[in-house]
Amino acid sequence: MKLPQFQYLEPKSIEKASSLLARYGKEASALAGGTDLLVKMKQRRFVPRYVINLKTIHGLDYIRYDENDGLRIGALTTIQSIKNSIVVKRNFKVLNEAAGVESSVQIRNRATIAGNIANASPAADAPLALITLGGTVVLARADGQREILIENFLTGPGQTALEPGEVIKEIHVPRLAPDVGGSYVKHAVRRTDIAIVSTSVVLTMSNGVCMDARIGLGSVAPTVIRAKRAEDVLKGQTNTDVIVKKTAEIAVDEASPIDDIRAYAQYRALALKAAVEQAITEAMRDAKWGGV
Amino acid sequence: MKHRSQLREIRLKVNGKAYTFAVNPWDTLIEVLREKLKLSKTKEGCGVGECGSCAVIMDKKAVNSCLVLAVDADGSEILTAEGLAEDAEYHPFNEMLLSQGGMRASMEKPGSKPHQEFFTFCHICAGRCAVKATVEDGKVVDIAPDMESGLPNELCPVKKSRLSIPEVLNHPNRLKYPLKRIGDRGEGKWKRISWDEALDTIAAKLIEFKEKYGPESVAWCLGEPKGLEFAFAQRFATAFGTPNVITPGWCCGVPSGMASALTYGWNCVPDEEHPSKMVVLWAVNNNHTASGMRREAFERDLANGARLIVVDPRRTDVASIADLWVRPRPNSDGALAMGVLKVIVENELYDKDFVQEWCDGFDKLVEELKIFTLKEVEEVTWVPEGVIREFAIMYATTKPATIQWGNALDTTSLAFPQDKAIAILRAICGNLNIPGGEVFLTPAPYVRPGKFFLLSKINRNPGIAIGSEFKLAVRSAFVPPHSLIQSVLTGEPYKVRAALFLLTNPVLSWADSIRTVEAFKKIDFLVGSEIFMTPSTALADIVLPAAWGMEHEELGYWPGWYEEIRCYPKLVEPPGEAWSDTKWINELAKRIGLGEYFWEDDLEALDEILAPSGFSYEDMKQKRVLRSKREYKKGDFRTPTGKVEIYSAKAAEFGYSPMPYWREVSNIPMASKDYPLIMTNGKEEAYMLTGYKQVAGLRSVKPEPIVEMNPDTAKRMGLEEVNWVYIETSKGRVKQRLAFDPDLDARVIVASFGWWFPEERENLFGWDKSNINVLTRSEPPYDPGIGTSDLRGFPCRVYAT
Repeated sequence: MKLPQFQYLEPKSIEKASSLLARYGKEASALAGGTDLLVKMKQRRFVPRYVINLKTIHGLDYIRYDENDGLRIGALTTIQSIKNSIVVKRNFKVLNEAAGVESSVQIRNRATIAGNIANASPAADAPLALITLGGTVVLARADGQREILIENFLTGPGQTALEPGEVIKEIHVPRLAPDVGGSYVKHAVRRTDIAIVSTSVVLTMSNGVCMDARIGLGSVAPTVIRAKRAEDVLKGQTNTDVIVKKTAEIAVDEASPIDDIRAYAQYRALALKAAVEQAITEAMRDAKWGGV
Repeated sequence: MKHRSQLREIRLKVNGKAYTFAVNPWDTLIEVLREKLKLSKTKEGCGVGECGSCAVIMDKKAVNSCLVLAVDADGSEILTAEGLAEDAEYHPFNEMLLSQGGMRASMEKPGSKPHQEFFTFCHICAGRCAVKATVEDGKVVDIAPDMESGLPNELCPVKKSRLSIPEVLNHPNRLKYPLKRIGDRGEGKWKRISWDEALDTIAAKLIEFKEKYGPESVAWCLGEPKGLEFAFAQRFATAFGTPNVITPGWCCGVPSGMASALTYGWNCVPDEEHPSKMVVLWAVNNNHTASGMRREAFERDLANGARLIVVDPRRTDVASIADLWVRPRPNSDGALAMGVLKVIVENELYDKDFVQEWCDGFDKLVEELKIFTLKEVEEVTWVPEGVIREFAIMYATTKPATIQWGNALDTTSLAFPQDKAIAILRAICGNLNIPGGEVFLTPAPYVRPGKFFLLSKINRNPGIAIGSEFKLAVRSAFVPPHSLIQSVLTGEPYKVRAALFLLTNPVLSWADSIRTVEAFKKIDFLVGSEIFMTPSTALADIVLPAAWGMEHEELGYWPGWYEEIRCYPKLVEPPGEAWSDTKWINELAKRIGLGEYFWEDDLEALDEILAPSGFSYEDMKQKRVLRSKREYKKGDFRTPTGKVEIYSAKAAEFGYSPMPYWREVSNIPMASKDYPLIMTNGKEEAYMLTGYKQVAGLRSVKPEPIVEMNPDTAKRMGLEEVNWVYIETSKGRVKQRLAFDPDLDARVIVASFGWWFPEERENLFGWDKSNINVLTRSEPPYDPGIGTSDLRGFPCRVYAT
């Protein structure tokens, strides 16, 4: 199927991109990797009059790690680059795992982290990992920039807090405490499929006691969400099987899965419980025994 | 909105060579590779990045070229399959990219669990590609092309089997138990019953109707054969004594098959053993949907320098790589064929020796071709004279040539003269039964379907069939669906009381869905067998759960044009109490007292049908396929005269003109002020006809029905893309989402066929929302011999919702 026609624009700077996006508003779309936008356009679910290609802006493709500042990823960094990054694998395991299960290598070689976040699918993998890592997006405009937690940036299915004229510039993940363990679990029919349910768990452990817990749930709510009541169950506890089970049950209770073409809500609830239990157990093991 | 020209220049290296192109911003990399460089091994499958068939290496990274804008490839180095593979054979380039097992229906890494691999054939469409199925934990997890046995294996680019078979085999909505209707028809209230109760109920009803009204009061409605179930149903009908069997033959395969048979004595297919120098794809998109010509053979011909002519109202994938794309008005193919014949005959480009020795009625053709001018052909077909000439000259002067024809030629009341004109074209240019041309196949040695149906053993009273006026249909053991609708709704010629349907979704696929639903609601007794609840089974009194491909031992002889028989071993258990159709038909036959024509166990039929070959079904599990033979015999024309009958006296027996006449093929429905656009449709690339809308992998490729229109036409009508529009005829209206296609004639729209919505449980799954058969007619005009009505190429109007 051919793409619909559009007016094509190639800004060379964030300022220029920002002013174009502000000028054309709802009639325009930014284009990064194109693996979501071009699909919607081919299916005629979205036909923007103006397509603003961000890939002509230099300097947005990088992964930098600083022991104090943490991780900074340029907006146009591909998911495959994130998957292949050793600093990400060593220090932010769930992000590496999430990137690794996104779709196929062909898609990952084009899809960008900014596009992944901006598309705001409740089933998206890297964004789910990021909300359990305290990740933020840096939003730039011609007249300045602001930073916002990704979990606050995602406001609904396909909806974000992006204001007219704003462009995602960078993703920031603050450094993690030393005894952190993580695990990302995705349940789908195929590894290249969109998740039926997914979960990202990041635990800070100290002598077998859980000091801090972040439990993220995917594909079971209007956005990726943090299961905060479940997190509270784990905090301050020595994690026994009973506690893990209870945590998973509370997490399922905080979720609101629906029936859709991939699964019934009932099935999602069962699968989610198993996934959360599995992820917590693995995160605990990772905290104790995991690599650097 | 007027755009200034946005053409930009891009430079890129492809397979080591440097190129410069002018592209539009909306052109994708795959379009550049296929259309500008004719690198046909990079295929468009789903177009949305799911199937991987368009994968290329760009700057050392694998990417889906369908999702890369050409402008984004500026300055890049691209490697395609042609750059990696040395030979012209099908190269599973993207299999390598899938080596991580990415498309396996399992989150486990390949090989991490005990598994078994089986060789079989895909059962989704008539292509029947040879595949290797992997079974893990009693479930099929992957379907890969079978690269080991030398059988045709190139899967459709969308890889429908891989994306649907694992899901369908395990789908939670699979019908598992026989159901009996409680409440009104269509209310959706069911009671689970046992197979015994189901079959006893059906048997009692059939016996009752036979005694009260005669066996002809019972009808069978069949779809495309998969295994032997179609044959079992036909056999049952004969044994029972009813000639009233509806099959897809009324609009598919039979018109063209009969046009061939009434011209040169039997059907023909492109010769795949020897290369053709000219391939004409007439109303078929080989790349996406199955026809007679396998993809490997097609690719090989192209790689050997064959020229390609594509005849299609749409600029399909194959049209975009053709040497000549001919864009006819839908349904004008007969007129086009006669125009091409005129150029060839009047310029003496035909094979004179062949015509002189082997063709009867050539002089009559010459006279008929004088009656009209090429200008008139242009007026009727919307194809410029110059293109008609170019088509004719290219085709006639390049040998050996083959014409692969498609379903669109059969879905019209003009099917017979249309198809006969094309048959004549093949003949007079000397391409019949020559290497690289059109071959006649000697069937593999198995019990022929007609014999299996017991037609010569038992008289099933074809003379009193509903639709007996369609003599060729009745001769071919079927009647058209509108005969059943007429019978149930008007009582003419008599009332059919019961219908049993399998392999089909009549509410979606019969012409005139509204009257089909009326008839289904009114008929005394209705039984449907299916794998999922559909709008058709939702109206039944008893629903039977069918076992699907890979869930039972099976032999398949379909598609008929290959004249082969294939083994489909059982790989997994069917869900719940699902039975294969052959099993329940066999059991039903025993309960009605027809056991002498059937078997104790339906599986016994598997050996019996193979008897002429000397092989057993167990042997076939190893052998896999019995193939037909090509003999290339000169003058092997099985007509009454032993020659090619351009003028066929026999055709008149069936109500046809003995040869195509200009006055017939040019008599096509005209647009009017009220209905100014001509509607056609293509086969769904992402689905198989009306099926699989509930499969996530396929639904995410094409989530909604789309209707395509020329943008200038749309703008004149004030219509925009993204919006849903109504398509309307005097029969009714449906809505589909609008997309622009600048390559369409401004007077043509292309709608999507077969749309219903499994997720919409109320209102019979939205059967009348987007279903284009709400727009088609069960009333005349009909093809006189078969009863085909116009399913494509009829006038309509479009407006905003």
